[in-house]
Amino acid sequence: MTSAPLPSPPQTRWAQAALPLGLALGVLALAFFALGVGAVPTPPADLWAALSGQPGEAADLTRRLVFDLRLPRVVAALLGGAMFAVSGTILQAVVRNPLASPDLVGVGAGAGLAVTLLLLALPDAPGWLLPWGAALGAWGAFLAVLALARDGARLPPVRLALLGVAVGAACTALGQVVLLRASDHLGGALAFLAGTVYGADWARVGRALPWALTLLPAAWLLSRRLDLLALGENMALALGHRVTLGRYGTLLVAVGLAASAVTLCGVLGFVGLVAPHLARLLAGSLHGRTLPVSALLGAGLVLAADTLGRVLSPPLEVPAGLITTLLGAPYFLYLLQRTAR
Amino acid sequence: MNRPHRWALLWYPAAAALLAAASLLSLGSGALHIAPEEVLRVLQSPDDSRESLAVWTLRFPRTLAAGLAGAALGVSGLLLQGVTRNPLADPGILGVEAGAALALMLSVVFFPGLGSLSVPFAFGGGLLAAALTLGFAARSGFSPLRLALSGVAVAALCSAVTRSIQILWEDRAQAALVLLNGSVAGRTWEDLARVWPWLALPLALALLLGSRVNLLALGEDVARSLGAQAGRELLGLSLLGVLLAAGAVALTGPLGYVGLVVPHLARGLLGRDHRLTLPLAAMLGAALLMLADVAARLINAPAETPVGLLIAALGTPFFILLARRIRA
Amino acid sequence: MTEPIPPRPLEASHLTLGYGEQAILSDLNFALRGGAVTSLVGANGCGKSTLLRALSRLLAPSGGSVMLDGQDLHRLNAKEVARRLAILPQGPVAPEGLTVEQLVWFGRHPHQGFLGGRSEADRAQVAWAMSQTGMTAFAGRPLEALSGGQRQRAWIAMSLAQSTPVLLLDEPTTYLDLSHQLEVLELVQRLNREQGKTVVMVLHDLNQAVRYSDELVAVQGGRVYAQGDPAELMTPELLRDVFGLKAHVLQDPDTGRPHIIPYAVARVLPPQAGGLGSPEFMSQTGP
Repeated sequence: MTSAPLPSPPQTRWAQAALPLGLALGVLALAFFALGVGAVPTPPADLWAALSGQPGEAADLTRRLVFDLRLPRVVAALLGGAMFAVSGTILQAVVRNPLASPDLVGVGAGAGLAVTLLLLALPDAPGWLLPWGAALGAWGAFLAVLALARDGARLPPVRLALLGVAVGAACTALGQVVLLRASDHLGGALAFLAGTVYGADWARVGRALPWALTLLPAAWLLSRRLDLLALGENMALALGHRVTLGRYGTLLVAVGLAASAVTLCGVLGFVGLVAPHLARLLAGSLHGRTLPVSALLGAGLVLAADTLGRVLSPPLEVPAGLITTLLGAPYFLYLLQRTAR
Repeated sequence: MNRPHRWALLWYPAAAALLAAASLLSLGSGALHIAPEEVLRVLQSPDDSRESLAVWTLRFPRTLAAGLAGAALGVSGLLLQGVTRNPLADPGILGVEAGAALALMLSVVFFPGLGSLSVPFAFGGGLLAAALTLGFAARSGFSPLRLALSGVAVAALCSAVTRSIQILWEDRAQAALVLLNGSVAGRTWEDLARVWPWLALPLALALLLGSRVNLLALGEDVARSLGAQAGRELLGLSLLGVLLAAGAVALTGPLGYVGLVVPHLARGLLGRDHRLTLPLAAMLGAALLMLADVAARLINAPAETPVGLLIAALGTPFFILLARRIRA
Repeated sequence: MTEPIPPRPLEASHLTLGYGEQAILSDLNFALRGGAVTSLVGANGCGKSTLLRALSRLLAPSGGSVMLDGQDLHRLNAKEVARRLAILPQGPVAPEGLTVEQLVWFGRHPHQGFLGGRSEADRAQVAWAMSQTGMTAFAGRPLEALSGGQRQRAWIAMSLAQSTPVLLLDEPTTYLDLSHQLEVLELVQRLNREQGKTVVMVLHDLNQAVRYSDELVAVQGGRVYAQGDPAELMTPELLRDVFGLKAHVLQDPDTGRPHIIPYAVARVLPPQAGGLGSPEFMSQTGP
């Protein structure tokens, strides 16, 4: 007992709530700004008038523009970002690997390939079927990556990430080869798989929304399980946690989130890697606090990327997935270097 | 004569025969099918027939492009694997190809009219990407898996930048789109004229340097104790590998895995002596890319499949197999 | 907060354990003395850590049974076990940024419901565990900012927060320097004397095991070679058979307990499968 005692920081409920509340406000403000951006910019006053339900022809027009075109896109960005972020947070806790992320363990590409195959086989497949197909493909790819990366009983982080990337690349290449044979119409309809919320409509939001509304709260309810799993298998067992059940349960949630997010906005590179790390930096390592912060950060990150992509050089649009990759890849390199002993 | 040399007597003619057969196939296959004897006839005496035109204006440059790029990538991969003593080293995986492609995109959009000078530009881009990859992997002592992962991330970054430029300067990037699509379809004599000196000279040079690679493949310390100026030679051979990859990218766009599969094949056949494996890798690389290109023409005829996609789909399982064998 | 001491809280009968085909322990019988500090000792690879893992439900036996207060340990509900028996595995690693208090709260997991509501009793137990281990002052510190000894005490505090009558520690002193080793062992002894905890440890240092234990279990070749009072157990014969050591056994003038001074590697060893003590190995490196 050599060190001087240190008073623990004041951890009142308000102080704990301030971070997520502040983030939520920031994301809301960003969303309001994003609703005004477009080929025909809407000044904030007009936007507010339309949103607050003022009568008038101009307000009606704005309302239609905003509700039919811009709002679904903003919602898609927010949902997609939050889902990838939460999925990444869970993956990192369960495989105890700072380099894990849905797009780095094959989940995203597996879901994309499954969606492509599904629409090729059943061009008129109902929208609700897509996330199920995506989840199946994602789970298959993930299990393949786990089996390939396993080294005896261990799951070395670098090996997992590298083989995850490789399996993902194989899935993507296969999907592209398959798409070459498909009609141009299908190719156009699936262009979003590369990672963009461009052209997101209410139908696309509608098919992912039930998944988000079920799995995001489920993830939060499982946050204590995640804390235990993050302590390692032995420790979790010692504390009376049913590790196998907990592991597969939480992984199912993570894969489901990422897969349904893929049907919404394709694979948004590195969001599931960066958001959880930032969240842990801001909110510590207990998932009850980290998960909401991570979700908000992911949502804000994707919305910011999409908005940036739209305002850079209108009417041209840089897809959100490209911008998140531009941010995320250097961060990944930094992490890779930091995890080297 | 030791055993690898004896094997070389078998495998060299076999690879040459494969290369010849692949060339004939590549000259004859496509929407207009031409029988091999017909191909040989129009090669000897060009005329105004459709066959002759197809062979001389379309398929000959395309076949040459595939052969040159394949040979360059195969040799580049073998050099890089030997010098870094890393079985996963490949110009695609190390990010070199993506870096070269980015530089080419920049040159097309911002400095049009560079012509033949675009290759040194691509070389610069590839070099920068390689430096980034090595820099981020340096702290782990260049462990193979970390090096590969670092390269993958650098490649992702480079291609994201390339795509962004392509979107933001859409009209000016059109020319680069064809150039960088990872395919040899539509390559012309002009394309070849622009690039070939940058490929042929380094290729010839690399084939002469097998013994130097052998020394470095023993490890830097051993090489130094044997009197080699290890640092300088390491740098020189790596530069040569990057230059070959950049030249190939300038001709075909990024084509992953050729530089990974071919060196392993060559070593599997002839062992560790780079004096023997470098020429074999050149022949095998050329034949492999030609054959893959033929497959890309036929698989979805009459539409063309980019050969890069095909190679990626087939090469990834090989990469996974290799990576799995390496302990983390 | 003294718990009632069951006379024989843990009992193993005909226990067989192994990873895959190879049995590490076979047909092992063993009963733990309630209210005592027991140390498992033995050469590397003799199976003592494996035994500890089986006694704590971390490892399912391939044959035989482990009884916790007369009930089959591996049939009991996982949380139920964790309320009666705490184990601290070897070299645990906490996620970055976790504070001491957050870590200690994990010890209450077996006592909490699905949503993890925190009762007054939980709070009291966490505070008690931190004060027992001297960690109260470090409550808000992240684990990686602590010294090795403090970190180990934080983990022990977590196990204490489980408020179990039995505490198992797998090599609690590994990677610690000597003073931190003694710090941990003295804490263990105090918990036993003052709280009546039954403690089982795997220890490498024989003299420490002798000094801080009421009972020793010498494991050799997957069997219990001997069990009993350290003063009676520590004989040159045992050291030769179990550890392959030639040693003088003296009496510590302070404690009156045996003190072991090894001076050579014993050449003659009973046959044993593999490991450092195997005859094949010795014949290559022996003097």
